[in-house]
Amino acid sequence: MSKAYILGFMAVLSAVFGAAVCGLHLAAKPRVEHLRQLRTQRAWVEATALAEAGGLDDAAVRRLVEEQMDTTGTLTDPETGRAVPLIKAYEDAARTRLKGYAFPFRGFGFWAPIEGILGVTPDLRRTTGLVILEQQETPGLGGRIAEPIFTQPFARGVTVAPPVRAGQPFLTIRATAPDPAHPDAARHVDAISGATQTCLAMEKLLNEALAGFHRAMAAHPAADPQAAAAHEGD
Amino acid sequence: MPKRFADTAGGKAFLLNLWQDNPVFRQVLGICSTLAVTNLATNTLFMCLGLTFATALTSWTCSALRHHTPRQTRMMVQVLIAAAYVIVVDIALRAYVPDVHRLIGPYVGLIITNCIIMGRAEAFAIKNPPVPAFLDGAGAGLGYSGVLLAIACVREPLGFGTLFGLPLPAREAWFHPVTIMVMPPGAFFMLALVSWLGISLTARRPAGPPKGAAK
Repeated sequence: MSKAYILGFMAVLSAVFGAAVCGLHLAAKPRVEHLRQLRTQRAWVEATALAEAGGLDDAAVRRLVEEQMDTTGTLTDPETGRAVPLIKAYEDAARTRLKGYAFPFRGFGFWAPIEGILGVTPDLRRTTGLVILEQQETPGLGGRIAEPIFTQPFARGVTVAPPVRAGQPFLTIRATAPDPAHPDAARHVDAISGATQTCLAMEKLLNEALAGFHRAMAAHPAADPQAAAAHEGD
Repeated sequence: MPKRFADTAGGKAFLLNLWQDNPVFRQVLGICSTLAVTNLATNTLFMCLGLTFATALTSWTCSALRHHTPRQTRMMVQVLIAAAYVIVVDIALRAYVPDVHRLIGPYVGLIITNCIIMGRAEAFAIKNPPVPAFLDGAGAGLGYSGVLLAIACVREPLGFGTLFGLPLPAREAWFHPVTIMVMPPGAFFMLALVSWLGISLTARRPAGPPKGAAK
């Protein structure tokens, strides 16, 4: 077979299969994008404890987000210059009573990047929920960070107020709980046994995300007066 | 008289790949994903469906193009065809079962490099007509699936106390997780056991004298 035939054959084959795959990708794109958006909206609702997202259908989640959430805000962390998307959740459709904030975080786990959304109370002192959107940790071990066994304490409320001492973490994720009488006991989250590296990675990336979020909120007091007051009180 | 399925070229290839020449315990192919996805049966099932689809259609396409494919570039052609079908699987999982895609997504992409696809294309599809090639690929995919599901059906109950995500009966009363079963070493142990069992059952014994022959 001549070189021209070989080149022509490969070019035609690549064009045919490339076009078919591109066509399929474009056809599926709206559905994939719709599912991704819906999942993110459910995560916002769950992280801010606006409702039990699992019990709501897609339309109810969308309505809740449209009526009781402001997802247009973006803050800037003055130290790193990074943009921090800010989601505000309100208790009422008139948007008069703030229920809490949510912000996305991203960092490296033990195997691959971990992506999620953390919700905090209006005074930024306690968590309202944690949702893991992406993770590739070991199924059954590190992968359990996306399950209620790990996320429930965040929904119950973990203290994440700015630490009093410099260098102290916002929260700790360890296997051994501190003495309940210890002032930092409320900042503790139980680690998943057998997933030490993933839990250490989660501790690091959540502390970094919280530090960035607090800096960004402090630098933008107009974002919310309640949060500004909380920072003034520190 | 119509030929029996087992006597046709495709039927013979299909059945051989399913059991006697099983790609996992006989040919020792596709081990990477065997170790990676078998701790949950649901993930295993979707991986197996994806691989069977990709292998059968890659074999069929390679066979259909065999008279036109330049010998020098045949492996490039096989990889290109396999990649296209694997991307189809990836898009389908992303669009219809996103939760499964989130868990096995990275391994789906690796189907492209799965030795079973290239192995069947090189060993069978480029020398045989499309229908037998399709059956050969499907047999290899289903043979791989059988072994993976057998491993998953041991690892998931022992590791999580569930099967296909459903709790086993009276789980609270008896279940104690065997953590190693959900970790990669558990897959190694199970693969070794299943391979041993499979090889023992399929061992080809030397042909002895026919029954009733004079001693």
